[in-house]
Amino acid sequence: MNKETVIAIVLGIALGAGIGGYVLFRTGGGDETKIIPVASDNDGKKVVKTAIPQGQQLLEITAPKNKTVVSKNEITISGKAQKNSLIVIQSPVGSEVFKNEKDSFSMEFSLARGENVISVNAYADSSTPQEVILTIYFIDSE
Amino acid sequence: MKKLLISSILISLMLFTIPVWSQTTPTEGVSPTVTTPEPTDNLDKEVDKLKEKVAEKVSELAENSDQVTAGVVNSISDSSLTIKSDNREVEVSIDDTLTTYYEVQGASIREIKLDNIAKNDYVFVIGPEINGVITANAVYKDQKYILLTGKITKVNQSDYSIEMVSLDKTSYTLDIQTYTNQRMLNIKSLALEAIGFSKLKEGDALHVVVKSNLKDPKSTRYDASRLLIVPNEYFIQ
Repeated sequence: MNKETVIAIVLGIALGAGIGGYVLFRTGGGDETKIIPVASDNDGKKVVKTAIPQGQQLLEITAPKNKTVVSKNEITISGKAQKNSLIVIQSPVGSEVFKNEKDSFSMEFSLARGENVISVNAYADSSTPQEVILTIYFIDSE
Repeated sequence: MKKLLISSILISLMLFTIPVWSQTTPTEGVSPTVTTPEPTDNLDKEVDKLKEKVAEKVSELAENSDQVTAGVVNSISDSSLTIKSDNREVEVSIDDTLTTYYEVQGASIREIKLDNIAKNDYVFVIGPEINGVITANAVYKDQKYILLTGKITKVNQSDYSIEMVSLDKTSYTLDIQTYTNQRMLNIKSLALEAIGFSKLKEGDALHVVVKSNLKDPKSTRYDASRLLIVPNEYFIQ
């Protein structure tokens, strides 16, 4: 192998490695394509939801699930809300008001036979509450 | 020199394309992982997929058997009724032998007949929805209630009514009747205490229950069934 061939091989390897490295770097370190999901409602219209500010605890009902059918005249409503919020629960047959000592709450609530629309409200830092409406169906074999 | 340059370019091009070759060239010494599937394997897989789909459908139907759809009756026939639910028209399939009908009357539920259900009645139907049609296991005629939350904007002493603005900024007029259950939060003990009309005042937060007016759904004046007041003082203490 003569000197020119060796130089050509070395130069070729260097050039190839350079191009390879450039291609790899560009693929791996380039800007990622971000996919922003767009939700649609039942009518197919696009729905854009406002982002919730970090650290702000909204009222969330963890149980029961909306439109649940039960066979008992009582249900446990559990949820999460900002600590020390005033929780107001109301339905056509009853009302409950309490302060949640922690950031979660659980309350036994009476039901009437048939449809029970229940509004759960949390007053945190203002006189305007956050509200969740639940509809629970109590049907027993009377 | 020319020879040197041409050789360099050729070698660099070869190195640049090597990764592409390596993707398609099988590695020596490693037995191929992809084997040609035999026809029976394919058939087994198809059968398994079909079984999974059937199982999924069965569990979906089982979950939906307790599905509830509520709305106002739009039309009734011997084999079906249509109800308006959440701004959509829903067809409910009914069957003489399978579907049972009930009416919720206060604290009790009594069995009724299809003839006792009329247009503009509020009903909730229990049964699975398949391809947009609900197969009714039971139809319950009930009273629809609306729950409103907001603030009192005006107290009309002359006719025992109050005006309120709800969380969605809609204004309502509420007539306080002798049967209206009125309660106010004691801001110290957090107990609910019975009150009279004279205790209601502008600025208080209120939670109210009213009976829906199905003949005039756009109505903004109701008789209040239940009032719960959180006095404004609670928020400024």
